[in-house]
Amino acid sequence: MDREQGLLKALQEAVISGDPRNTEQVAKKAVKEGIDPLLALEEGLGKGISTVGDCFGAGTMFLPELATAADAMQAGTKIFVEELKKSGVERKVVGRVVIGTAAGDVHDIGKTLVATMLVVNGFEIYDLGTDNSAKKFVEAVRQYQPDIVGISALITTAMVGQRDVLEALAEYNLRSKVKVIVGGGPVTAEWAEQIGADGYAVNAVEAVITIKALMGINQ
Amino acid sequence: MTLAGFTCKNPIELLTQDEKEAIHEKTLEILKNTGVVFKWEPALKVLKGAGCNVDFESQRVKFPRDVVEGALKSCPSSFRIKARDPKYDQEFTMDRVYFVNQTGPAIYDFDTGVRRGATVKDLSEITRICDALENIHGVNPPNLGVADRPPEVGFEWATAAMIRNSTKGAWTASGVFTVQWLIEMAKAAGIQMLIATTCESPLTYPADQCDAIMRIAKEGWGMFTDTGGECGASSPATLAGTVLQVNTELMAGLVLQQVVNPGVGFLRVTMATPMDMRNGYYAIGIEGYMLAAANASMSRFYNIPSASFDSLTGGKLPTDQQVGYEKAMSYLLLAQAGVGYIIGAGGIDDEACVSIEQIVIDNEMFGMIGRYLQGITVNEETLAADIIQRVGPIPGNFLKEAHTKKWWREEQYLPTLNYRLSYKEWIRDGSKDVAARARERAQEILRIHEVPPLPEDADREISRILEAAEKEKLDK
Ligand code: B12
Repeated sequence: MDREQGLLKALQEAVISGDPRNTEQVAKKAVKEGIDPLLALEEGLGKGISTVGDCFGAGTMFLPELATAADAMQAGTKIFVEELKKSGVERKVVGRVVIGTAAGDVHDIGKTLVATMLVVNGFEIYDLGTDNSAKKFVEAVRQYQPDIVGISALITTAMVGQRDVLEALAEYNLRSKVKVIVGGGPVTAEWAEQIGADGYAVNAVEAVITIKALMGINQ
Repeated sequence: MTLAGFTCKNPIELLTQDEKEAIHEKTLEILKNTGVVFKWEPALKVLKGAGCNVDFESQRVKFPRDVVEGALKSCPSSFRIKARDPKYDQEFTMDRVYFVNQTGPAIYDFDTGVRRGATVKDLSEITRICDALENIHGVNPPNLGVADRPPEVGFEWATAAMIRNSTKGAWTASGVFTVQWLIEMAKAAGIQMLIATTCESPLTYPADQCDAIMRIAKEGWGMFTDTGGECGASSPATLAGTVLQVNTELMAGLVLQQVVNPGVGFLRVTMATPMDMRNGYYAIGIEGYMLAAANASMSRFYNIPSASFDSLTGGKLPTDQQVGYEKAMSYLLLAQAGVGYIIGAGGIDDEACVSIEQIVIDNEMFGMIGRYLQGITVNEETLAADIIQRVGPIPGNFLKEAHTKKWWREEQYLPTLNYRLSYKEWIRDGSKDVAARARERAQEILRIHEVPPLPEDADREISRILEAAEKEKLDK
């Protein structure tokens, strides 16, 4: 028991210190010592990242800590997910999100922030980066089968790209399979409604809340 | 003809000569060893032709020292942008200082205080107000989206509204594969436009911006190239590192422009600002203003004019003190540092909103800064030693002196918005704060100020271009 507690604590600390290489090593060591991967994910890595999230909310940790902790979390998660696959156990993630910036738009700071906050909250993220055509979103939805698609637009001309993604999803009969959330500077709740998106959020914290609500997750 | 604008004779330097040389050397090192990505095949081709090392697969361009030095040599230290009215031609030199208005995706409604998207009518009116204000030396579309037109052609409609409603020198943003329409409209009006092209930090020029740089260079128009760098996110957390990265990115853009058309003017623009690590928004404030001043220092090192978007404020209303003190600090510092083109009038809430009241208030700040830039004239007559000795000591006074009559008007900037009467009189006059007084001034301008319309055929041609752009973009 003590040994298990020690490993969980080491995983938490590795995430909190935001060092992906170290987290990977600690995770490998834990696997070797026979830790339950689900326990390691929840009570080890998960607890570590939620500590970072809480500290960020409280203003004692900042974006560089949050971003590196999210990376560390993902590095460790990979190791345990592989273990789970070997044993045939399905791992439950909070949700899968495909996120990217609309066509013609290279602004990515806000989008990346939303993705980081989602990682911190236990979501699996597929970040498509910037300047994505509707087709790219469609392909990503086919490939990753996400619960949520998030589209960012910072320039008014790129807002049209958000509408194009919704239309393309409908065209390929994928619209009912995902919930779509939009955001970015000029985007408003009215615009989201006008183009038939399921949700809108003004910032990264609200994005997490809205996405959870869309998925029917109790907060 | 004397042109509009101010002059900064003795700029303050935030960097020493040794520091500038070090930044220059590191710039050359980064350009040579790591290079910059240009996501546009035609740009890669011309850069290769000019002697750069180009990897077409990764779209990475590495710049040998002599190519960079060649571009620096062919780039002029001044250039002119032709306005509708020649007295508003903008002459970018090493000591001119211009103040212009800012753009945003929304306006602060004049009558209701509600924030909303601007219509063509709003944009026309705001431009007319800028046209009337004496210390706003050039115009910019107050919004780039237009609420009552399709979003695809927002930049075109906004730019057309600007051209139609002011005879001052104009600038606009290139947008995403929109620049060809903007150039056509300017030509129809018989003017040139400063068109903003943008580097995406770190070290990347997007396809649409490469296309814009090449088209504007081919026109032979002086060009505005800016780079962001959000310290700690898209550039180093240190101010020095960000100055270096900005310098490197601007240099890469300059080489592309000079290779396409040697000898065309270049304006080195920055909007670098730190990131607020508590929330990811811009950490608007003194550090961003310092980065703009440092970019002006580096620009002087190269003898190339500079500009900045960095006069931002985080305050949300024209009545908020935060707007006032951030703007005052920034405008004054930038002007003192000799930033040649200072963008900001009317902007509130970062770059997210424009307020008419604020344009009028900023105009007054610019007037005071213009006075500062004139400096203190010291000569026999202004020293007035003889008069001091004749009038003093008490009970003499200076009010009736011919010297006073002649000089007070020369020496003082007479603000027209500031309230300087007593508290009792202020109550009597309706207890209005500066934003309320600015609103009245703007209403007055809208009542009386007329802008000569474009010649009929030019106006018709602009309408035709708008239609063509709309057709091409909406039919896609
Ligand atoms: C930084 C910046 C740039 C940088 C981008 C760097 C980068 N890697 O991202 C650079 C310099 C490259 C740039 C380029 C341009 N820019 Co710019 N840029 C900005 C600026 C100043 C800040 C944007 C930002 O990062 N904000 C900080 C983040 C944290 O906030 P955010 O993005 O809003 O994100 C938050 C929320 O919106 C939300 N959110 C965001 N995405 C999503 C997605 C989902 C799904 C959800 C739920 C929520 C959500 O959560 C985020 C976190 O809280 C804005 C002005 C402004 N203040 O917004 C202009 C601005 C967006 N740019 C503008 C313009 C015009 C351009 C150019 C077209 C200029 C040009 N040369 O013509 C080019 C674009 C080229 C292109 N192809 O895209 C205009 C757009 C105007 C309009 N009406 O369309 C703005 C508004 C400036 C202005 N006032 O004119 N820009």
